[in-house]
Amino acid sequence: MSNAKRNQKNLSWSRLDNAAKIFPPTSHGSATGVFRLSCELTEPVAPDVLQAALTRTLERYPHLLMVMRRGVFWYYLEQTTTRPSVVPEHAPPCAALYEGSRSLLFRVSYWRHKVSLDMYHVLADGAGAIEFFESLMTAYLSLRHPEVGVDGITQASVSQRWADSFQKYYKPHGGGKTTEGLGRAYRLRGVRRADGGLTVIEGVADVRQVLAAAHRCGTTLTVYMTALLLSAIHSEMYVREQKKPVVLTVPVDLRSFFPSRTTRNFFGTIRVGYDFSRRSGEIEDIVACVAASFKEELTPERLGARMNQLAALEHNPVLRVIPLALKNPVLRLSGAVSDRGETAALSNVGKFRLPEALHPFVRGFGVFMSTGATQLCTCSFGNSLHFGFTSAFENTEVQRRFFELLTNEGIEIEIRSNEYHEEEGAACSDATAAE
Amino acid sequence: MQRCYSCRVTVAGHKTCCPLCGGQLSGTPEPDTEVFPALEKPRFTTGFVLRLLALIAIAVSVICVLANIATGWHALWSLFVVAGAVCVWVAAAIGVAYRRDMAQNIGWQVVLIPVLSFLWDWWTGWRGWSVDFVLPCVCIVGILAMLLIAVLCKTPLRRFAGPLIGACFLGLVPLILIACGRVRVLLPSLLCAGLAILSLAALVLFQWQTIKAELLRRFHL
Repeated sequence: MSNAKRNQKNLSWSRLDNAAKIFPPTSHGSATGVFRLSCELTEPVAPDVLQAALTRTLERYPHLLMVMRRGVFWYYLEQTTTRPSVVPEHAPPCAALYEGSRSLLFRVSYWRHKVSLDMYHVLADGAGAIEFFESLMTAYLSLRHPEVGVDGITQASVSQRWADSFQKYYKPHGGGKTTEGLGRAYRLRGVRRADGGLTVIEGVADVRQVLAAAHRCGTTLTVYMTALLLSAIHSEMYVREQKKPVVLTVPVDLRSFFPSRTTRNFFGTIRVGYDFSRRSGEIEDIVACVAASFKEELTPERLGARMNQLAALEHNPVLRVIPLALKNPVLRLSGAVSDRGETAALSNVGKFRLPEALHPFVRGFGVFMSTGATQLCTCSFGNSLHFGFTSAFENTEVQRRFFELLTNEGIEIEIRSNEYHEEEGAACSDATAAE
Repeated sequence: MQRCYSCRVTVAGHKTCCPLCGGQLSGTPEPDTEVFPALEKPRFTTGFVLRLLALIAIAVSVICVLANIATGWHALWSLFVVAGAVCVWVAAAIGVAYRRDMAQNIGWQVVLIPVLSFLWDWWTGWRGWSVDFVLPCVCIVGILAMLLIAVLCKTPLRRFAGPLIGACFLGLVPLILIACGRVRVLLPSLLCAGLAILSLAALVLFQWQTIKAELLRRFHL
């Protein structure tokens, strides 16, 4: 379809990739399937420059200009002529983006020193969105500070970025062995927020301090943070609940295992469990257990087998011909069943990268993922390490305990939150106790 | 910077309580370091509107059932009110759910209204008005409304091709009903079938590429 006129008449479309298919039926309440990347700058955001940067960046990412529509058997993505405009931040982090077949599936917003990109998981995964966000911020900062003289980063071609890598690496009979489920996991308790939104708590630490603490345990940053989160959840459990294992879902970027430059979804998940009723619960033991499961799970064979298993479901001829209206409840149910095996989720999206010359203008990046329970997303930029906690619950016991474990190691933490106590001078929960 | 001594963390922005433990903070607040804006709550959400409509429907039903009981059980007229309230609520719910896409909205109403009428007709002792009048008239109005809105709003065909084709195919149903001898008043059904065939022919002859692409997308497996 090279003919431009014809292109306008017949917009291009594409199927949802394997991982994206689960999001539309399971997006409800606080689990909107939307994640947020944010970038904090050292100076206030200039909206018109940001708009120019967005327009310029989207020329290289035309495949993000998509709307989601309902087909008879599946949802699909269709190119749209709607163009996004940057807006002042008016929605809570990770608020739902899909509001029907006209809405764009991402939003760029700004507030004071911060630029945020909210992205529906149907369109891209963390690594894909990070690539786009880095390009956007590079474009913005180089337009804002032309004196620095930074060019765009060299990029993959558009077709590489819009490739469906799940299809590419799917082997119909590539079964292989996957891990058996860890059974029913311990589920976090708590009062869900009245507004159905998320409690967002962001912690900022110096990556060197946290790395030093991880090295003292003789392990890596990701394993250390996973172990701390397991331990933090343990502190909230009743004794009688400890017979159930605490299980964390950890998304894994498959690009590190299979060569791909797609910005669409290309991730798998592994589950890391710890049984506090059978093991000591000491942080060293948790670290050892987590490190062992990471080593066992993070192999191309295991991840490939899991990927094939999920893709086989999509390729199942019986499932395929069920109309969407009936398919949705089935997928919703399977999502709910899968959720029962999970306590919380932890996602380490790794490092954000910008050209060296732009570093002085950026304070840090943050990542948040919508969830029906509690999720921790971590990322780093320069020397700042961000912990983005999102939770559907009002209570913040797990978060408090997690940061307490970090401060016990002598790590300095700065806390930010989206909570506002409207009445001036409202009593704090321990105010009466203090008196 | 504010500080929570029990959590041993610094807290950005201006908070009245520690976000982690809910305890008191010391130090001077720095509102400029706030990272999340305080948001105004939306006044009306879709869920709220639907719940409000449901409450009105329930209120009408309850009042009528109670009045029915108070005036004696001889005629159960309140059952009709209850069923009517349910039908109106379902139609309104579809209207609210698809408020951003008029073509789809009309498309679903064109399916829903004849189905509900058919049930009413059947329940009230089959007089055939649902197939004689409602089905063909709703299809005619639906197809014409979609075309009119498209012309007025200059909507490209691909935006509303799905619902339009659907409504046209539904418009062929009266023809089948005539063939089965189920229709007593022919005129509305004939008009409806005529309009549907004409629209489909025009679509196929002049917009085949668009139609084909739309069908491929909608029916992909």
